[in-house]
Amino acid sequence: MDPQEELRQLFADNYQKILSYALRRCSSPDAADDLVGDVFLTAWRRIDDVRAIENPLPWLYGVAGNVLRNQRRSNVRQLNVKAKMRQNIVSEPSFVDDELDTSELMEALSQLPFDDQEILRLCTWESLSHKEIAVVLECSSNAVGLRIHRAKAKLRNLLKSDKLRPQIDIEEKKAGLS
Amino acid sequence: MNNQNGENEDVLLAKLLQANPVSDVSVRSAHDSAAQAQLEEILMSSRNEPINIGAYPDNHHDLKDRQKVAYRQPSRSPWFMAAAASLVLLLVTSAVLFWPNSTEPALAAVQSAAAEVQGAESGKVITTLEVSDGEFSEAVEVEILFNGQDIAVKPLPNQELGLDEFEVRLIDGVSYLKEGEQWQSVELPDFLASEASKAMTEMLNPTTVLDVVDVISDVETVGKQEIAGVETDHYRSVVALADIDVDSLNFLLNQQSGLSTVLGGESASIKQSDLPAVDGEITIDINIDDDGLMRKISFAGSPEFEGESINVDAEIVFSDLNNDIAIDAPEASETLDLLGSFEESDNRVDI
Repeated sequence: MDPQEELRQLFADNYQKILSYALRRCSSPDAADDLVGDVFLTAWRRIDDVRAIENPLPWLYGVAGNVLRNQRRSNVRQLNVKAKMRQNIVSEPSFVDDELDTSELMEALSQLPFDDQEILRLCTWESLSHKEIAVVLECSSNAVGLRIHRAKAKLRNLLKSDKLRPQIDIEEKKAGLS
Repeated sequence: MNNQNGENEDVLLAKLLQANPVSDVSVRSAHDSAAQAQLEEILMSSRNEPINIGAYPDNHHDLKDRQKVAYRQPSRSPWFMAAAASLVLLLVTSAVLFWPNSTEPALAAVQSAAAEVQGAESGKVITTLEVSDGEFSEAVEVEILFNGQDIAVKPLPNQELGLDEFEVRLIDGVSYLKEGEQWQSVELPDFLASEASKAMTEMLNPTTVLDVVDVISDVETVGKQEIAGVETDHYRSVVALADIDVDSLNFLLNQQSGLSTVLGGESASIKQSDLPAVDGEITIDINIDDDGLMRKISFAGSPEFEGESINVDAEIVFSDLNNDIAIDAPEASETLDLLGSFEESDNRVDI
């Protein structure tokens, strides 16, 4: 197949999922768009490799995750999803609050190391299997199980402890993202 | 959620799923004009330009090549973090070295179980070490087989850092090192082989870390816990790293004859000023089965190392103790004999 057609097909099949991934992690719609652009630009330049992959979505998530890691190193502010930024392009999510406060859960999640956050998000928000996450994070499926277990333990500990940053910090952070 | 391991029953993950801030179907589609404009812009660019975002996974079908791509640069060197973690574990061992022995039943059970493992002629050990600096984490899993003085160290597949390209075996005084697909062997002269073999075995065999339980004094019984399908008694001890003193560390290091061999018979002598500033606590969990054998020992904590917090999570699982463990030399046809090659070249070294 013509490389351009291959990329068009890849884009059509995966654009929404990659955009959703980006919006869940980036600080603005523009930053999410840039991330999507970086992912598909990488795929375009490596289209010869991509065509050999049976299920390219985890590979694309892996590219996106690595771009995010690099951006974090450049002190680009991101990862805290903000409702306001999504208003123009997504509908509001329906949160279900029982006993656990969602904002508290999200705050605790944001305080985990990046890799712990990422593995929990991949298995929930991106609904990936352990095998698919192993492709994204380039590790074994067994390691994925181990890491999820540990990330959950850290998240639980954070939620149980008083280590969550004071609410005033959260408000300040939200204001900074406005 | 289509997680294969039944995680959809996990309440915490279910809550996270509910907290998903963006639904896939709620975002614009690939057919949206803005999306199509972005696609056309990408298609206009050259495919041959270097990828300058500096971060992309290689083709996951080609594991060997993929692991040679250094596309992830943690904020700290993973080797630094691994070294820090190793040092912390060593310090933990030394911190409790001179604690008085106790006749408490829990302590006696732990010490006896450790002695059983250290006295075993053969066995299998899976060691997992995870360290993080608060932002990035690295995990290493290694399988170690030992049978007498023979030992095989093999990182488990698909690991970060390309570690699974390396494998070490020590059999009858001959060292075998595998890098990629190539084995290399070194057979030391008899007068060196015995001591070198002993030193390597001591350094590579993780049962040496069990020296720590010889001197733990405050073990508490936690309860029952299942480890790999076996019910065990669970014990715990907490070590304060501030209790470390340099004398106990030197004593511990010099207990290991392997280190003395490496140092050419000299004793290790670390000065107090050489020690990094370490603070915090490490929790040691120990599991012992009904036969009195240690099944698992783990170390966890977030000690401060030179003023920065490093998370350490290490786990050592023992199995097949005193069972028949086969450690075979690689096929001769796959092995390059380094000293043999050296002799064949009339001891000339071309630089």
